[in-house]
Amino acid sequence: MENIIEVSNLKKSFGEVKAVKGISFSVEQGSLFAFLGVNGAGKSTTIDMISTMLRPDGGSVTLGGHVLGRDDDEIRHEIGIVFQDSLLDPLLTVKENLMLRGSFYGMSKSQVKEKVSKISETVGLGEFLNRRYGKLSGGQRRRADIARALLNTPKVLFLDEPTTGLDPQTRKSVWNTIKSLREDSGMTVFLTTHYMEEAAQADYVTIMSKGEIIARGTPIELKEQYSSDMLKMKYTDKEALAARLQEIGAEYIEGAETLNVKLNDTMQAIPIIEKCKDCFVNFEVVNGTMDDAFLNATGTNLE
Amino acid sequence: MFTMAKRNIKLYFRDKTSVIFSLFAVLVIIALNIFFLTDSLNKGMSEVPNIEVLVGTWLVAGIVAVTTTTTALGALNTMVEDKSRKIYKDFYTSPLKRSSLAGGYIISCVVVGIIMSIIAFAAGMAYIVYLGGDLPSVETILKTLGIIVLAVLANGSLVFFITSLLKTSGAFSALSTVIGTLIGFLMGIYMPVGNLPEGMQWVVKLFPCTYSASALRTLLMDDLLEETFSSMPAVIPEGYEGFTRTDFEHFMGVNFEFGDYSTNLTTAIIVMAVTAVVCYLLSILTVSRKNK
Repeated sequence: MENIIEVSNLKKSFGEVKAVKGISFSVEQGSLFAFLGVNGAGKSTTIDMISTMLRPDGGSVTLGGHVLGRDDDEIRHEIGIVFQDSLLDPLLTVKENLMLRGSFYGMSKSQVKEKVSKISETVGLGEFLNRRYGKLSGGQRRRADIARALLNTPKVLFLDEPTTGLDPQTRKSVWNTIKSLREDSGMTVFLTTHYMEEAAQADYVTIMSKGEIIARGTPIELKEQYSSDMLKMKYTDKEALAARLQEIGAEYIEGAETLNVKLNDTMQAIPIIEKCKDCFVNFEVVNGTMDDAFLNATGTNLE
Repeated sequence: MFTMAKRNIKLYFRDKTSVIFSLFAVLVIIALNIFFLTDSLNKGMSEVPNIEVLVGTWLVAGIVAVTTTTTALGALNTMVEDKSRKIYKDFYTSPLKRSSLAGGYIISCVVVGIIMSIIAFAAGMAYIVYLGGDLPSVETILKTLGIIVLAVLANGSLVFFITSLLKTSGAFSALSTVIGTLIGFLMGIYMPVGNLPEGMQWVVKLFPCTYSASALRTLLMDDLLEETFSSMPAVIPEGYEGFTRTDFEHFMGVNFEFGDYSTNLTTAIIVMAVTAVVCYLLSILTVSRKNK
């Protein structure tokens, strides 16, 4: 597979603050690429640079073969962005908003019209296409935002925390829309998110912290590397269980009414359970999650 | 550029509060005049023929001049909102030229200013007819429309320059309020410039927007002044002996006196043209400087 985005040694400082410290990564064409990081990690700055809004201090970016800084206008034709905040005009109807923004891409009025009606069908804008954007609910607005980002049939769709602040049901429906879009068009999706369950659906995940990339891989690789399964045992006699665990050489962490043992793989639990079975009343084996992987990788896990 | 201008104009007219707010100064002037000024002016010169229509026309010229400035400013609300709500991000990441974006703001500012000023002028003329005056000749009306366009270009580019320096909508509302309240003083419209203290008179004379009021007054009041002052000798009120038409014009701010020199319509047109060009260039400079 070809890479649609290549970033190498990208840098940006704001005065003394080094927001992005020379990062390199690439995004495969047609993939769902997730960009993770806590607030202030430099994700938005990176997206702002790739999307031609902010000039980098150093490094190079190519998108679809176009070089950032030289072919900015070509890059702008290839991308669509769903911004974290709603950036359409509240006093205009959804249709007016889309018609105006469609005109930026050098299409004739009738071409834009055709495009808008096609997209509104794909995204499901039907009943509120002629309503003012400012009067829409959060979920309807997000749909309109997505429709706006699709006006130019982008090769890369940037989604900057697209579901933040939406209720779970709306979140799910936004995701279904994105999913079916990808299936239909083979578009590359570049996602930043706080929700690990969303990142877990990605083909590739890159984790950023303090301006640097600290981990990358498929969700499965990251889970293997940064999180582990855990055996939790609810004890009757804490001391007895602790003694037994020390005896068999298993390291443990104290939880609330439980002693927890980190496992390299799930099967390791069986001999431990066998040896300790008279010391606990209850046990469970918990699989590692993306949450753990993320917290461990960024070093923000307080445990 | 024109689609952006169309968008900005739509946004101005759909935001009812911004329309009313941009006419705030006009409402203040009308209220002040209904309650105090016209009455006291008329009382002082009640024996002057035609005085009601004359003062009414003076007032209308002032209101139209204020409208050219404040509504152009009101239309720029969109530009500040785009900045403070970060809507510009959507534009900057689209293949829309920055110059089209800036051009869209300028065109909408001028178009809104012209539309609103013409409405103010039409309403003003209705008021004059109500007072018993005659409508100006077609020629005068056409010239007035020309002056309105020039005034919007001059005053619009002045407020555009000031607005281009602002970043937040808070700063913009503060500016709108200050301009809305002060513009009547600065342009010598709340009261005749001759009634102001010496220092304030200088401020009025040096404020470039004043000359849009001056030009409109000169145009609209010419015939009326001619009529009034030609019949003057018979009815000179007490205390007004030796009071010439020129004195009256200077007192009311139709024209201004700099030593021996008296400004006229040509001076006013030159001042407006120079203001338009200088402020336009300054705005281009600030707008392009920010595009790092």
